[in-house]
Amino acid sequence: MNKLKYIVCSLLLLLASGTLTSQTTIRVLNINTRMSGQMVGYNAAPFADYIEQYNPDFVMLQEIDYKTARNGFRDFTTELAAETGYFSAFGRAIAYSQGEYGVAILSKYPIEKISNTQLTGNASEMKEMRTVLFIDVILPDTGEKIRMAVTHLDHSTDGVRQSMVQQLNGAIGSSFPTLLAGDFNAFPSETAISTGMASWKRVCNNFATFPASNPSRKIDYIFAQPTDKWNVKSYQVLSNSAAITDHCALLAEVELQ
Amino acid sequence: MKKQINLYLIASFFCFLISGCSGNDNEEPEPGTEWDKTRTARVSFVSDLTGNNPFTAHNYNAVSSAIKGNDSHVVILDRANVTYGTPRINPGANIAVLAERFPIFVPVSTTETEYRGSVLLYEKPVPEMEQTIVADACRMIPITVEIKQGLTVRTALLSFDSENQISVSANLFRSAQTSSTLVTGTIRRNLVPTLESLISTLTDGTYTLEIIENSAKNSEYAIYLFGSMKWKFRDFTEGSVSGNIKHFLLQVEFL
Repeated sequence: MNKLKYIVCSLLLLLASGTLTSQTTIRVLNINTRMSGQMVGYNAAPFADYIEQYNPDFVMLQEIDYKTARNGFRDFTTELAAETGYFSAFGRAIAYSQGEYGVAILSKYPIEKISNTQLTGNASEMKEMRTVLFIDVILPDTGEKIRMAVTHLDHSTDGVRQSMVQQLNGAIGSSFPTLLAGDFNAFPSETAISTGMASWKRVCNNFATFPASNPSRKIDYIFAQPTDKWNVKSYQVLSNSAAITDHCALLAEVELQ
Repeated sequence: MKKQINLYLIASFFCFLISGCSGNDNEEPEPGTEWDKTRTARVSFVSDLTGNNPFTAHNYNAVSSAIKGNDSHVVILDRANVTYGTPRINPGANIAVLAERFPIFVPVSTTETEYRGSVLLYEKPVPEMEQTIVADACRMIPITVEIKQGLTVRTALLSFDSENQISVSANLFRSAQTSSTLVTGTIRRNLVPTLESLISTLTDGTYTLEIIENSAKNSEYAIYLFGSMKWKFRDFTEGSVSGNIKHFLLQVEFL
């Protein structure tokens, strides 16, 4: 009888561990790269090393150059994909320095869809156009499709950022469970965040994320929607990114229900 | 009798000359009679046509040199599988960096260690892309190609490994014909009759279907092209890249 109990318990434990390790837990790493690696000679390798130590499912990247004069005409996104073995997508915000400048996503899983929408605002206030890039992927173990989005909002006024957040929400839609990360250039109390992102679940806390060397301001975020589909398992502000960029990296582990 | 035949030949020759010279020089040639290279899509496949991944760190340089050496609008690294163990290896991204192209992976299936699929190499980053799941282990990806300023055409990559994948693609081919989309991909050679049969039944005969005659007649896979009569297959060249990897260049004119 005791033997039978032992077998049943073992089976239940196995089942439980199987459930826990199935692909419903997603690790997301967010990094503003500071002018596409300007602090490390525009080199992708230090970022690849940094990414690999956290083994994320997705990496959301801001301030990415695509073949600009300043970065020696390198395709930073594809170089990172080659270094890490991830799949990649790039979203252009503006033409810049004979190339392009924007955001990017690295994904462990093949990308089914890419969509890039430029964000604008009141011309008299806005410094430059920004963008929201999203990808759709199918999680291998559950077969569920999720959307991963990244943005970097304008460093101008709350009004411009409110307008950009409104456009961003329209572009992302609500077809699939979505994680959105990026540099919003906005404090938590600003309307762009408090009202504009009210329909999203906050994955991050309010700990400061910038500058990485001595964080004093909260401007980088991770959000999820719909709010009842996601559980936050852990969240960290990583100041050890100070060697490669001026923003703290954000690392979150979330569970899709 | 011999003299009579010679007379006929001479007469025929003069008739041919007269008829050949009687046209108006100012008239535009009928579309399709002369090859307009400025309206031609150049599609490259880099493959060993075995259905297996031929790309390793040893041939990244040779493959990227072959790609950089031509001005194809679309380059397909056929079966550039991604290893997702430790370390993760993405041959398409490595070749893209060296070839100065932007990669998009088209997955077909997953094994315990790999994402199997091909890689499309674009000249620039792709702002919009959506793949269509056709069947198990079969996807179609539309590719917009700017042949020249003011001339953008639609192409698509769709490869076949099984009969079922072909049979469920009927609507895609119909739609490709009406939208003048050039569909290309690799097909297991023993499935070619199935593809030919399907296409002959679903359209009114006004289509172009080419099974490319590569030098290895018994290769496990072949390359095919399908399009409406707006597309005219013009040329095919084949070159060696590294080991058994070949570079296949297809040139198709949009009339």
